Amino acid sequence: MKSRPFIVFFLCIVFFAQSQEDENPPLPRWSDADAERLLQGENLISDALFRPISEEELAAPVMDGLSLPEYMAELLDVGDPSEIAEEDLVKYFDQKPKSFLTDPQKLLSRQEYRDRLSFLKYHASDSKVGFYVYVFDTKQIIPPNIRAEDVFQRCFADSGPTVLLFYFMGAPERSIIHLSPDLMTAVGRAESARARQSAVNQASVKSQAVDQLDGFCVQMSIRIYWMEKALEAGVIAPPEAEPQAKPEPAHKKYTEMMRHWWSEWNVPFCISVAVLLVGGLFSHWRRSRRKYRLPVFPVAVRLGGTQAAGVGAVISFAHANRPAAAQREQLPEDLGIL
Amino acid sequence: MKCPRCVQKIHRGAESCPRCGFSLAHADAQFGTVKREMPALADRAGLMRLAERRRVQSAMDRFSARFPELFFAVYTGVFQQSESLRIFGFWLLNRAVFEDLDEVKNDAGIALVIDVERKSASISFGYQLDAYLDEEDTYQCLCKAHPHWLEGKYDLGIVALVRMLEKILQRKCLQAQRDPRKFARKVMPPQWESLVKRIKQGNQDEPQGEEEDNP
Repeated sequence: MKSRPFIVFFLCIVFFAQSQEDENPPLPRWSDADAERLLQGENLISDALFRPISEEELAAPVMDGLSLPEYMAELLDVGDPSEIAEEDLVKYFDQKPKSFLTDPQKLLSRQEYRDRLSFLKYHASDSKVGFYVYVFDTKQIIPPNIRAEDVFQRCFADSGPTVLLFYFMGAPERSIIHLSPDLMTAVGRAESARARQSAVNQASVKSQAVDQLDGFCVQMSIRIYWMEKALEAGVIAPPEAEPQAKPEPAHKKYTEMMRHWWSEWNVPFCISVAVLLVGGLFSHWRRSRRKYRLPVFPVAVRLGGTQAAGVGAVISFAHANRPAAAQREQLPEDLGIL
Repeated sequence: MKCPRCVQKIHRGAESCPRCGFSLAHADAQFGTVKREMPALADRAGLMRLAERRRVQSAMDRFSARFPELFFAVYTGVFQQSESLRIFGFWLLNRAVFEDLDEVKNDAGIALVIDVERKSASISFGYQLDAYLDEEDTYQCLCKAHPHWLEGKYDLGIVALVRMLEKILQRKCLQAQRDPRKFARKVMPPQWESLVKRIKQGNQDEPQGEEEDNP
């Protein structure tokens, strides 16, 4: 009797299958004529498969560029990658964001959005400093008329210490951090810049854009923790010294000075150089055509020579190993030394 | 002033060398007494080609243009072992007649003698240059030519020698115009009478040399 439930179950299944079978159309059955034809070797498949295609069907369809479907036209119209749509700007900055992660352009997938948001919520539960992240595309540029101070004033005036992060997907080095005034007073601009840079470094080690955002947010959260400590301790960041202009390299100063001098004195300089050149050439020409007349002195005749008796040097050029310098001392030629 | 044979100093106006007894008569005995006519550039040894001779001739012409009262002569030849270049140069300036030089006398000449056989060269000069040239000056001129002659480039050597000679004479000319007495003392005996006269007059002398530009 223990098998009775099984039998009942089996009968139910059979009944159910039968009922399904009744709902479905009946399976085709071979007719006797078809069976006979098949046994004789005839082809029972329809001839439609082997019907020759007419030339009209072979002709390629005419492609008309103007007749693109509408969605293709929309796809081709990409637009400027650096622009943010007006409606998105409204969603970004017109009111205080409803969550810690603002992504009206849907740059993150749903799951990615949830994961990042969960971390930001965890941070919010553990810190009094609000951390709001605005996500933008890689090449997008925030319009210059949107200032962080105005956003703070409009949306976060009564929110306490807050950190805003404008993050550009795939480009962590473009990220922008804004601290609320009280936080900036406690931390200082230098520390804020260091915090940003350390977060950028953490993000840069990742290859995927979403992972970069994750790394950035984590590092930023750690930095915010220390900022909060400083704020609670009442630390006031030392006043920053006025950024001194870098001393101009000496050669640039010299170049600038020379340029200024040249612009003022180029004409007189060129004229004086030309005058000196012409004068030098003229002087050289005059000297080349100059004639010299030696003063004549009466000289007594000697050795019987009525015209000349001047004896000069004798030099040998027979051997290269006997230079002229070695022949300075003049000796009589009959000594045979030459 | 030196003797061409023994190269010892002799007194101005000495009729013969007090050491070796040399005089022009000895040179005449060696080279002849008949005056020889020759061009200023006498390449008897055939050292230079036509183009090279022209180069040397143009250097000599430039010298004459710069120093209108002087001339430069070149003689190349083959000398025997016993023949001295100094003596030949001394004899040449006293006995040679340079055909292409009518207006200048031999005492205004500078002669370069080159011995092709023994590969040696010497310079001799006339009385007008006694005050301006000495052995050291001619040695400097020969040194300029020496490296060219070692390579067998006689024309380039002579041109370099002439240029050096021009420089030396230009410098001496300017010095002489500033201080002629310095050069006069070299060749003239001291003029005691005129010296006393100058002292009395307060050392006022008339300039003896002049410089002339090309018109």
